[in-house]
Amino acid sequence: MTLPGGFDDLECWVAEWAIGEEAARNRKRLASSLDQLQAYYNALLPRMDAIIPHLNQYSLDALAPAEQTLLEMALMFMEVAPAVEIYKHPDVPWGFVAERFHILPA
Amino acid sequence: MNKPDFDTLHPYVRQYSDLGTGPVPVMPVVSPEYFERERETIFKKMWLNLGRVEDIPNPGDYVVRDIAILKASIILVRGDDDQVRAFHNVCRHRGNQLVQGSGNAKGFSCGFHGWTYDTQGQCVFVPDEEVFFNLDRSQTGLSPVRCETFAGFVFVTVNPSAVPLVEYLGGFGQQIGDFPFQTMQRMHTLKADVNCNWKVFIDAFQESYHGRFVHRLTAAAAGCVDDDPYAHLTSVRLYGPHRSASVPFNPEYQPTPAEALSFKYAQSLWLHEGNAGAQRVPGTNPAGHPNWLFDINVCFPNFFVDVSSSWFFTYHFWPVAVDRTHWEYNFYMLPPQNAGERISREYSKLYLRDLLREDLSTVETTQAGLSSGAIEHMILSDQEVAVRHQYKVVDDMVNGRWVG
Repeated sequence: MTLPGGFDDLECWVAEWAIGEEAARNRKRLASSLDQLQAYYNALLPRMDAIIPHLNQYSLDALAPAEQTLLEMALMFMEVAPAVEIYKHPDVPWGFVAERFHILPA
Repeated sequence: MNKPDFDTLHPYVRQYSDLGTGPVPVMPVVSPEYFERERETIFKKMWLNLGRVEDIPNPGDYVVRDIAILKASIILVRGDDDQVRAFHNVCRHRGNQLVQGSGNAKGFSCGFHGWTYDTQGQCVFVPDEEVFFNLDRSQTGLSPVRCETFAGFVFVTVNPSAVPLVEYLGGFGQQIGDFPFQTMQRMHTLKADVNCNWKVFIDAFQESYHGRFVHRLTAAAAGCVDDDPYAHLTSVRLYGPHRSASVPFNPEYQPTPAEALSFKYAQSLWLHEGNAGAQRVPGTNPAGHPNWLFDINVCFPNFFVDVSSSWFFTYHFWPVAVDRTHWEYNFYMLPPQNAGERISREYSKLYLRDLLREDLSTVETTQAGLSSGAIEHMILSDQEVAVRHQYKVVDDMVNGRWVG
């Protein structure tokens, strides 16, 4: 198991959806169908109020691998959320072309 | 009903009557000749922001900025005396550029013949020095560029007779200067090369009129209400060439489930402590409006510092050609103290990122429309006072009418 105990129900999402960098998370979103994004969103939304208190027990700078994976899943939830909640589309439907819009880490 | 004694539909033409109400010519955004005059009379004269002091936090840290509109490459470097300086990225020997990118260095050594400069710009080594003629290394340091900081923002100018930065910023600086910029950290950077004039690009970000359309699924809900369907600016301030405008908050705003989560664990993009009252954070909401979303702050000519009570972001619009602009955006929030705050801030960061792709969707088609020659003038409302102000200031400078 790659996630902390108590989060076994989310294990099936880890391989595809636990992604470390924002730009890569965005590429995953854009390469997914709305149905796939909706399924991930539906799986994570009711679990966020368990995920966050669990992660808040630890120092953000020194998360164990299982907690780091869980954090990346939560960040991916936020990446997926605008597509599901607002745009009803994986991309910004009338947005400036994604390939010309460069996302750099801090 | 009594007629109101104040024209509530046109407050800004009264406040700034010298801007007039007439149509605004298209020529300044399509003329290559005008663009060249902007280069000489604006970008080579004004103070230009190149980032923040935190970009180069340690002695020896440097970053190179290639500024096409100046036809210059500039090194920003924090010297071993902890002072931030700017130099032309040009070897004094035969003019080769010294360095690219960013990093930490004890100095800069030219790859062509090995001339070496320290972090304070002094020439410290010339290979085979004896074969030169009366070479005085104390006179061959890097060419300095005037560099001053304000509230942690690093500005340069290639104009030796420019007024001091704090004087240049004037009331604009006084308005934003006490915002706690230094407490926040960069969350990410976005960049794009966009086919439009720099002023057309800026115009897309200095009015709220577009919100109901461009942001019909996003920001419109945070600002537009039944009795203010176009989210009219609640106040506008012009400070010499600079300008500031405040955008209203919809107190009935209902967050999505993800934004509600974001707000539960920290302040979120639209829901923050400043909404419910006035001036919770210094340097924000200068008119004290009770329903306040954020301030648009435009530092002439090409730099924005938009502030909320829990975030700020910057835009840089770097002109490359009359119809090409390099855009850079940096978003800042308080450093997260735990995972919940980190996850919360991710929502704000990504929502704004997607929203910016909405904004950028209009500027190339606008430029194409203006470049077609189909219209000679733009028609501006009172709500577009900042747009009008930009063209007035630019045209005054280009034609030698600007008096500061």
